[in-house]
Amino acid sequence: MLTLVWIELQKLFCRSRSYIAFIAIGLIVGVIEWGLRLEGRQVLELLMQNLQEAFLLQGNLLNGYLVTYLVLNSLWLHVPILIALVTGDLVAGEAQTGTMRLLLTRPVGRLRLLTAKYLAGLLYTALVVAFLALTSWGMGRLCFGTGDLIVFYQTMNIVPEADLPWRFAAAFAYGGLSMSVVASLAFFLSTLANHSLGPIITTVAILIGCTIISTFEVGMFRTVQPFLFTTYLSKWQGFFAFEVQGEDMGLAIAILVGHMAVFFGGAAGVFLRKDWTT
Amino acid sequence: MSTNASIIEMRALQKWYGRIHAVNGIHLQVRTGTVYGVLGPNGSGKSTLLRLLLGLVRPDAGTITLFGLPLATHRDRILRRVGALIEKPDFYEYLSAYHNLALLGRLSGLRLDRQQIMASLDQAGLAARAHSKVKTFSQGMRQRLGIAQALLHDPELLILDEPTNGLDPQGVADVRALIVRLNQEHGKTVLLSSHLLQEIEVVATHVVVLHQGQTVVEGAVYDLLQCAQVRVRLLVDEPQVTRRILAEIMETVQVLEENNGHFVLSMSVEQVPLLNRHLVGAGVTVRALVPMRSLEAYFLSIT
Repeated sequence: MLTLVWIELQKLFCRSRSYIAFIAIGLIVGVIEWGLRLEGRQVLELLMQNLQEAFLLQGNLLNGYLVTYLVLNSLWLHVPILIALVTGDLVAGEAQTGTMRLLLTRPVGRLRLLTAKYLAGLLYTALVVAFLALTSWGMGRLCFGTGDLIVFYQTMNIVPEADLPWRFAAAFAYGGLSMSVVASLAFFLSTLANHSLGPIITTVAILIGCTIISTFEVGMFRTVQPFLFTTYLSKWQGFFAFEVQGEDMGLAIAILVGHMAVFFGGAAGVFLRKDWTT
Repeated sequence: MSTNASIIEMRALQKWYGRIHAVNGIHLQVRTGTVYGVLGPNGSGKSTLLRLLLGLVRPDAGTITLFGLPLATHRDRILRRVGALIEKPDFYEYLSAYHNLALLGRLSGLRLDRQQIMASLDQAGLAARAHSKVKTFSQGMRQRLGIAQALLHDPELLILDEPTNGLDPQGVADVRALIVRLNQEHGKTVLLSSHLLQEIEVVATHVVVLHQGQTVVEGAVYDLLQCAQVRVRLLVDEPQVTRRILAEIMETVQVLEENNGHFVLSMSVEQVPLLNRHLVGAGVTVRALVPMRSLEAYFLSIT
C-alpha cells in the first residue's frame, strides 16, 4: 500500500495543478499581512474604540496570533476550492486522460488502488493545511511579533500568549479534518465522473449550497443543519473559547469523520462496480 | 503450460450497456502459443470482449477463465501474467517515457533498474527520447511506448487492441514482426483485435469473427481461407480455349471479368491448381494465375 500511495503522491506532485493551492495561499496570506501591516493598527483601534472606554487594553494587540486568526477566518472559505481542484481530479482526471485504463490492467486490486488515491488526497490536504499554518503563523509572528489574542467567539475572550500554541495547533488540526471532508466529497464525486471539471464544480456548488443552509437560522434549515458537514467547518473557533467545550468539539469531530467514512464508502461502492469504457 | 491447453476460456458471456447488447453469449477458447485475432465491424463487441478479459468491465453473465483461474476471483494473479494495450495508449503526459515505465513497472510489482527500463525503451526505439515528456510524443511513439509497457513484466499473454494504430508503414511492419517473433521465439500467446483484416491475416494463426456481439465464425486462419471463395487473376494467350474449359470442365468457376485474355474469376482455393492443370493440358499459355486470397473477402461474405 505504501508503494501505491508513494506512486500517487509522485504523480500528484509532478503536476503543476497541485501547486496552485500553495501559490494561492502564499499570495493571499502575503497580501492580507501586507494590508494589515499598512492599516491594521488603525482598523484595530477603530474596532476597540468602544472597548477602550470600559477596559484598559495594553500590549501588542495586533500581533502574529491575531493575524493568523484573521487569516484562518478568511481562508477556510477559499481553501476548500483549492483542495477540490486536486482531489476532484484524482479519479475523474485519470478517466478523462485514459490512464485509469492503464492502471486497471496492472495487478493491483481496485480497492487498493482507490484507497491509495484517497490517502494521497488526504495527505495532499494535510500538506495544504500545514502550509497554511506555516505561512500564516510564521509570517504573522515574523512581521507582527507575539502577544495575547483577543477574539470574539460567543463573547470577548482574551487568550494568554502561553495558551496559544496548543489552541492554534488544535484549530489547524481541526481545520485539516474539515478540509479532509471536503476532499472526501470531491473524491467521491470524482468516481462518478469521467471528466474532472464536473466533480470540482459540483463540490464547490454543494459547499456553497450547504453553507447557506448551515448559516441561515430558518425553521426548515435548522432541522437539517446538524447533519451537514458545513455546519461544523467553522467549529475550529471553538478552540479559542474561554473554556473549550470538549464534548461539543468531540461530537463535531465524530460527525466530520462520519462524513469522511460515508464519502469514501460511496466512492468505493461506485469504483468497484464501475465499467471502464473510456 | 502445453500448447494444447487453453490460456483463455470464455463461456456464455453476456454484456449489456443499457439497452445495447454488446456481447451476446460468446464462447471462446484461445490455446496457448497461438496468435488469436478478433475481427469484426465497428460495434461488433471486439473492444468489450478485450475489456472483459482484463476486468475493465464486468460481465452480466457467463464466466471468464485465464490460465485456468476464474478472472472474477483471481484478477491480480492473472494480470501479473498478462500484458495489455487497450485502445489508444494513454500515458501520464507530464512524465517522461522513462518515468512512465518505471511507475507502471512498480505497479506490476517490479523494481526495475535503469538498465531494464532503458532496454525496454530501446526495444521500442525510444531510448533517445527516454527523458522527454510523453506530451511531446507523436502517436506512433506513444503506440510503441504502449507496446513497451505491455511487455515490461515479460507476460505470457499479450492482449493488444489495434496495436499498429497510428504507426508509419515501417512501424507497422516492425510491430507485426515483433508480434510474430514474440509468439514464435518466446512462446507468448497473443490476442489482438484489429480493423486491418490484412493484419490479422498476416499475423494471426487463429481468428474469431464477431458481429453484433456474437461469434460468426471461429477457427484457424488457414482453414477459413481454404473454405473461402477467392478471386483469381488469370492471363492467357488463348482466351477462346480458356473460355471453353471454364464453361465445360470447370463450370462452378464464376467469370467476373474478361478482357483480351485477362480474366478475373471467383473460385474455391482447391480449384486453382486444377484449373492450371486443365489449361496447361489443353496447350494454353498461362502467363499469370494469381489467387487474391483475402480474409477481407471472407469477412465481408460472412458479416
